[in-house]
Amino acid sequence: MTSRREFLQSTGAVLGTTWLATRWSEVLATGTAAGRARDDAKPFVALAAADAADLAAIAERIIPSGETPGAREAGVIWFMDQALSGFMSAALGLVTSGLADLNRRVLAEGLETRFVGLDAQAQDRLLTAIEAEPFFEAVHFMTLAGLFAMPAHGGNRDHVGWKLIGFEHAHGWQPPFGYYDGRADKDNGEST
Amino acid sequence: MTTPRVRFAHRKPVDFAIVGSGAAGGVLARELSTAGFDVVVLEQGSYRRAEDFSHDELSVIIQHEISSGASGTWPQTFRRAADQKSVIPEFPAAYYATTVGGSSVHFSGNYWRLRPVDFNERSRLGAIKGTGFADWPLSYDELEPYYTRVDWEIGVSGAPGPFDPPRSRPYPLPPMPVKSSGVLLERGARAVGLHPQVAPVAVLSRPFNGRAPCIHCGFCMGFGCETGAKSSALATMIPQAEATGRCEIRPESTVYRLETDGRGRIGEVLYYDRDGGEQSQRARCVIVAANGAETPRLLLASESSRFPDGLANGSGKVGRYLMFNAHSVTHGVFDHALNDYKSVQCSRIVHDFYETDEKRGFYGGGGIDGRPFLSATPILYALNGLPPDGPRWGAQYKARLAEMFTRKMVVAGSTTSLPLETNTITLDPELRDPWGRSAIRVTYRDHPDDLAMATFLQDRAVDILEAAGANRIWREPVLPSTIGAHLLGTCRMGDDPETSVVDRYHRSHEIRNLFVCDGSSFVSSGRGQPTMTIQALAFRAAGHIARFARAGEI
Ligand SMILES: Cc1cc2nc3c(=O)[nH]c(=O)nc-3n(C[C@H](O)[C@H](O)[C@H](O)COP(=O)(O)OP(=O)(O)OC[C@H]3O[C@@H](n4cnc5c(N)ncnc54)[C@H](O)[C@@H]3O)c2cc1C
Ligand code: SF4
Repeated sequence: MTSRREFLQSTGAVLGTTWLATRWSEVLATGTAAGRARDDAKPFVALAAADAADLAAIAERIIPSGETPGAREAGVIWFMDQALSGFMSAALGLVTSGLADLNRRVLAEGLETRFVGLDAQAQDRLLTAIEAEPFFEAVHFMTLAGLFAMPAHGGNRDHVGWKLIGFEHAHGWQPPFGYYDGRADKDNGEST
Repeated sequence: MTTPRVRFAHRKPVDFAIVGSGAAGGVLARELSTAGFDVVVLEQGSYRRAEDFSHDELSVIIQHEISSGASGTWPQTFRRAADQKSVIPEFPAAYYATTVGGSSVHFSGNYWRLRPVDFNERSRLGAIKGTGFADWPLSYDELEPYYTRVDWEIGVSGAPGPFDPPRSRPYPLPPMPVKSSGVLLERGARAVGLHPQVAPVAVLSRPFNGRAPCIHCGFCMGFGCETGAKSSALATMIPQAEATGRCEIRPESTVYRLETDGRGRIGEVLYYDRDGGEQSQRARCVIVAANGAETPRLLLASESSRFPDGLANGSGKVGRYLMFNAHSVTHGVFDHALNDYKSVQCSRIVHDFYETDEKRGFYGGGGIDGRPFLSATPILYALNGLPPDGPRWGAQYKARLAEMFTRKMVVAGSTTSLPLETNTITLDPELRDPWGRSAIRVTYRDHPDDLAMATFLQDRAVDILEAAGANRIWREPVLPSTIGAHLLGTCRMGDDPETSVVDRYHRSHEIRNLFVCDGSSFVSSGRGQPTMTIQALAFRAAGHIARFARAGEI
């Protein structure tokens, strides 16, 4: 069987990876509602509040806030809740058991708190230990999807994900598109 | 003004039932209805129009809103060889669009003709051991008028290049504007002695036949075009077919069986409607244009006591010789912003390595292009677009994400695939779809020469990116394919009923009123970008089929 890594590298791949469940119609139906839930700070649908706090904390270590906004400002946790109650509901068990396991590790280290209460250094140490696990993969995927999907799906608040990478969303564009085709001395004269 | 849509009775035979409304099916429907025949097109996907498409990457790409990835609805399995157990892959192995207009709706529109060599390379080079390498039963010259028809019927933008095959008419539309990736590809390729040329694309650079030109939205590969500038079957052939008043497009109609009668002719096409109800359409003649994965599946699933191995399968070749076109992908990062996420994928290509060169030590040829590839949209960029060696999370990862999106491009290579009898579409013995049909099982392993060619093109891609001034270059390893978006060869055409499924007019060797015309008809793979040829074949086939129908020879 193809490993995930091999899969991503398989260059016949026209597109990247996906998460197993594919009930896209549910996403469409509830997408806007998720954006609204985020803005009204409504309670979560799939996630218990404590789990949500830990998940949000993991997302914030994957894409930390700094000079530019990160997973927190993007509201990625709202995307996650939406995904886990919709098209990724098949992964909900993986996520909740992964969180329970992570918190067992916290206790095993003699720390009297849940993951969210740790300092960033301790959080990173624990995440490094589990970064090859399917649980981390799932959260990693949801963090990126939540950062970059259309805001209607719950994350990417005020387009902070798109602004981070310099992606502008417009209905259309006109040339020049970039630096090299905009230069007057571009060497594309002959073959056109 | 919209023509009232025609509806045909199910029990009264229509002249033609066409299975699939994609690149080939759209052309066949338009040509046959224009020629005066009654046509019903059965399409499993929904009828979405330009205004139904969106830039919603999560729904369209990740959740397969319009494509075969919906594992619940269109499940597939994959294995590399017959002695392996097949598994449900994370991503569909046979990747195609399930919507009216088929995969031409979400494709990138790179439109390359085949060249004379593609049709007779077996004669030129001799047999290749262990493969089904063969000539086509037709030549480039025979197909040339139909390539020209495709150019002018659907609207292709481009300009001639130094290695192009002869053409009887210029491109109808001037090239698309060059992108930064095109400028850089051109600069790098020239510097290493190659001959870059304009990328021909099935996208309008100017208004054409009442359609508006491309607005360079960038949501092109994998998405439906919201303006109709992409020259898909949906934007071109299908409205023209419907306007004749003799063509009914029947969406959400999943054909599960072609029923043969006592005379060994097909009388009925059985399908499920949107509610799962069993329906049937009678027809005098059936044309299967469901693509290189679904066409063989349907023929195999239609087995009967008279045709125990499936329809049109006396040769045993239905579902065999599947060809994907191998790939290589090489990334380069530059100092300034390319913004390659804007506009269509490709604006420049390199065809210097099209021909097989025995000095390389292996069979094959291919093409190179410059494009954003998967980094055209943010989620796929984040999943696929960064170098493999850095951190995958944390502040440094975030900084990298931020730095590269606007500054990178891909130089992609696409190659020949040798036809192998062991690369197949078969029916999965276990997995069923929601209707109870056997799922598609894809068995695929590239011939070593195909991977050698992909690697050769990757070496050239590195040369090009270096010469263009990339500050960072990385290769995606060339590995055996697990996914194909080009689904070719599974009902190959030929004169000999022992070794092919359809004849040179796309009529099945065994069943007189069954024709097959789509990517499955290919004998060899070309060098990538097969759809121009799929449509040229469909125009040609439609002419012959109409002739047979008029002469009472169906
Ligand atoms: C992301 C992507 C990018 C691509 N880019 C390019 C490119 O740049 N250049 C290029 O040349 N090619 C490209 N391709 C490939 C191109 O899309 C295909 O080669 C082409 O569309 C195949 O045409 P076809 O007529 O054989 O089948 P399709 O266009 O796939 O049409 C088949 C139709 O039949 C329908 N169907 C299947 N089974 C049934 C059934 N049982 N009952 C009813 N209906 C059925 C399907 O839903 C579909 O609509 C790309 C493909 C993808 C996925
Ligand atoms: S880039 Fe042009 S052709 Fe492609 S989807 Fe956008 S408008 Fe349509």
